[in-house]
Amino acid sequence: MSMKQEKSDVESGIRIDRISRIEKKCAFCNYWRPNVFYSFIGYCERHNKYTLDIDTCSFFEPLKINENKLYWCSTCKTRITGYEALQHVKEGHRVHRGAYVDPDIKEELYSVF
Amino acid sequence: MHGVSNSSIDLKFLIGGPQGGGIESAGQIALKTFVLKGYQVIGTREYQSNIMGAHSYFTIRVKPERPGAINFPVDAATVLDAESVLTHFTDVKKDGFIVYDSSTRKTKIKTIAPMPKPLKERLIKFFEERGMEPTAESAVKVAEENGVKTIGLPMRDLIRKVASATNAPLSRVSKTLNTIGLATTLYLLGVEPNWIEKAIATHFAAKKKVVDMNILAARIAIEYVDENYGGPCCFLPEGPHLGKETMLATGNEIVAMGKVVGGLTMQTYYPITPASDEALFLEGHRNFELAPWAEEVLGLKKLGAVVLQTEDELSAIMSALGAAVAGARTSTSTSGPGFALMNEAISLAIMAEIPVVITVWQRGGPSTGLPTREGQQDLLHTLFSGHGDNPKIVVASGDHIEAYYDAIKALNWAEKYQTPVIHLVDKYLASTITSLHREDINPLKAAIERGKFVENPGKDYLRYKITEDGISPRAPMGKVPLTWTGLEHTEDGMPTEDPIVRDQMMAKRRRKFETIAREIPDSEKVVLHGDPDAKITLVSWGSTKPIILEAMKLLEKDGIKVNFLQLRLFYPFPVKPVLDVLTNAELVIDIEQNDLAQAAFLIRGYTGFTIEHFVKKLTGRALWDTEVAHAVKRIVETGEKEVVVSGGA
Repeated sequence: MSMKQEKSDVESGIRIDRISRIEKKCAFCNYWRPNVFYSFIGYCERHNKYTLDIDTCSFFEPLKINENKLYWCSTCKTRITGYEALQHVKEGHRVHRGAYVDPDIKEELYSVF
Repeated sequence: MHGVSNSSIDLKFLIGGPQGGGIESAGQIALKTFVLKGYQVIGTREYQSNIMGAHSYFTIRVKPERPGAINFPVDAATVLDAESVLTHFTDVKKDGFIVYDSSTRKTKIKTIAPMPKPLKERLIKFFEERGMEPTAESAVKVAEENGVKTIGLPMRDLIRKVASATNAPLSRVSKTLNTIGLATTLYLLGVEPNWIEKAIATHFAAKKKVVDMNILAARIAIEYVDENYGGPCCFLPEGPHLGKETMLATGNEIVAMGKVVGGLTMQTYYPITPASDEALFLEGHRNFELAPWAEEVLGLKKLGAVVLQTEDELSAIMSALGAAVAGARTSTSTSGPGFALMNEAISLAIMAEIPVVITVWQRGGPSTGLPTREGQQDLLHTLFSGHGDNPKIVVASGDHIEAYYDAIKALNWAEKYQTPVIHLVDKYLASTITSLHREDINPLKAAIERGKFVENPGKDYLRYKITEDGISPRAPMGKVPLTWTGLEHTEDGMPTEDPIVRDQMMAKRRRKFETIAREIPDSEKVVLHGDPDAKITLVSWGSTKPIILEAMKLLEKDGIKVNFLQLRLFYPFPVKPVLDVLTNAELVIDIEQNDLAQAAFLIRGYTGFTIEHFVKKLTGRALWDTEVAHAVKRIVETGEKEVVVSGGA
C-alpha cells in the first residue's frame, strides 16, 4: 500500500477487515475494550457487559481506525495513535478503541511514588 | 504426603502476572492457606515502578517454623500471562510444575511491550541458540525438557464455566482468574481443597458473593486438573501451629503497629515508595477499637494516631517537629530521596533538641534509582545527614519483630534524649509478609518512656538547662515562655554567639550522646549470632539478618562454621563489642546490599579494623540464603575478595 493510499484510508476511518483477516468476534469489534491485563476478557459497550474475545453477536461491527484518535494494542499492551494502529493491525496485532481497567484494581496495586 | 513428618516440609512457589492483575490477592490467599493449615510463611513481592500491567510476582516459602528467606528454584510457579511464563520458565526445579494459561503459548517475545528490552534480547538469544522460536511455547518446552511438569489451563473455558455455574456477569467472574491459577497450584502442592476454600473465605471475609464465586472457581480449577492431569499424589500433613492465632503482616504494617503501641500521637509523611504503606496503614487505624485481650493488657479501649499527609518532605519533617514541640509524640516516614529533603530540618531538630523519629525505608538508589526494589544504600546518608556537628541515633532493624520493637524504642529514645532517631528499614522488609504469633509482638515488652519532664515549670525554668547528663527537662507548652531556635542559644533558648556559652552548649550536647552510649545496653547495639568461637565471622545489618541466619544453617551442613555479627546501632557506635568479635575471627566477610560496603567503611572508621572480603547484591531483588551460602563458601575456598550475587527476575 502506498503512503498516499494509506493516508487516505486513515482519514476515512478504515475498517480493519479491509487491511487484515479478521473473524466476527468480540476481539475485532468496534464496541469491545479488552481488560488491560487479561485481554481475552473485555467490556462490550454495545451490550454494557463483559464478554470473551471469542464471543460474537449480531451487532458485530469491525473496528474503524481514524488517525485523529488513540487506540489500545492488546498485543503490545500499549496505547497507540491511529497511524500506528494501522501498522499494528497489518502486523496481525489486536487493536481496540481502548482498554478496560477494572475499578477494583486499587486492591491489587501497591503505592508507588 | 501422608506419613511424611511436617517437620520436613519446605515449600517454595511463586505467583507471577501483570501488576494489578490479582497477584497480590493470590499471594495473600496462598499465605493464609498455609497459615490456616498450621505452617509458618514468608511471602515477598517484586513489582515494577510503572505500577500497572508490567510483570510482578509474589514468592512464598512455607515451613513448620518461620522461614527466614526465599530462594530459587521453586517447587511451583503460577504464571498468569505470557511475560510471566517467559520470565520464570527456568525458575522451577526438576520435578516441579508450572501452571499457565494455555492461550499464551503462541505469544511472541517481541510483542510483549512491558517486558524490559534487555530481557527480551537475552531471551531471544537463548531461544535462537537452541533453534527455537522466541515464544512462550518455547519456554514451556524448555521447562518440560528440564523435567518440569507444565499444566496448561484453558482460562477462557474455565472462566466461562464459572460464569455459567454462577450466572454472574463476566465482569465479576473475570476476577477469579488468579484464583483458578492459584487453586490449581495449591492443590497440586498437596493442599486439600477445604483449606483453599477456608483461606478464600478468610481473605474476602465480608464479601459473601466474592467468596462464593472464588470458591466455585477453585473447585472448577481443581476438577479440571483432576480430569486432565491427575491430582496430587498425596496431601500435606497439618502443620505444628494448627489452630494457633497467627497474624500476617508486612514490614510496613509491623512498624506502624509498633508506633501505635509505642504511643505515637502524630505521623506525617509525603508519599514515597516503599514508605507510604506504613502511613496508609496508620491512616486506616486512626482510632480503632482494641481486641478484648489487648484492651485488658494496655488498659485502653482505642488506639491510633493523627496522620498528616503534607505537600512535600520538607513540610512533613517540619510538621512533625512542630507537633513535637507542642508535646506530641511524633514520627515521619520516607525513603532516600525524601530523606534528602529533610536534611536541613534534621540539623534544626538536633540544635533545638526536638524529639522526632524518622523511619527511612531504603530502596535502590542513587536518585530515583530502583524505586520499588531493595537497597541498603542510605546508611551513610542517614548517619551523616544534616549540616554542622550533628549526632543523632541511627538504629537498623533486621526483621519484622525487631522492627516492631525498634519502632517503640525509637519513640522512647527520641523523647528521652530529645533528638532525632533514624529508624533504618528497607524495601525487602516493607514488602515481605510474614506470619507472627502474639508472643512475638508483646506490647508489654517495651514500655512507653517520655524522658525528663517538668509538669509545672516555674519562672526559673530553663529549656536548655546545662545538666551533667546533657539532658534538659522538657516542659509543656503554654505555662512559661519557651523558645526554640536553630541558632546557638543560651539555657533559656535565646540566640547567642557568646563563645563561652557556645562551648558550654556544644559540651552539653556531646554529654547527651555520651549518656545515650552509656544507657543503651550493648545488647541493643550489636548482636552476635552463632558460636562466639567460630573462626569465620559474617558482618551485616538490616533485613539481611534472617537470610544470613538461614545461610548459616546451609553452611554448617557443608562443614563451614560461621558466626554472624549483626550491627544494630550505628550511632552511638558500639566500638568495643564490634572490635572484640572481629579481632577474634580469622576471616571476616561483610555482606551488604550496597556497592560501597557502607557498614564495613564505618567499622574501619570507628575501630580501625579493615574488612577485606565482601558479598554484595545490587540488583534490588531479594537476597537469597542460598546465594549468601554459596558466596561465603567461594570466599572461604578461594580467598576471593568480593562476590557479587544477582539472583531473581
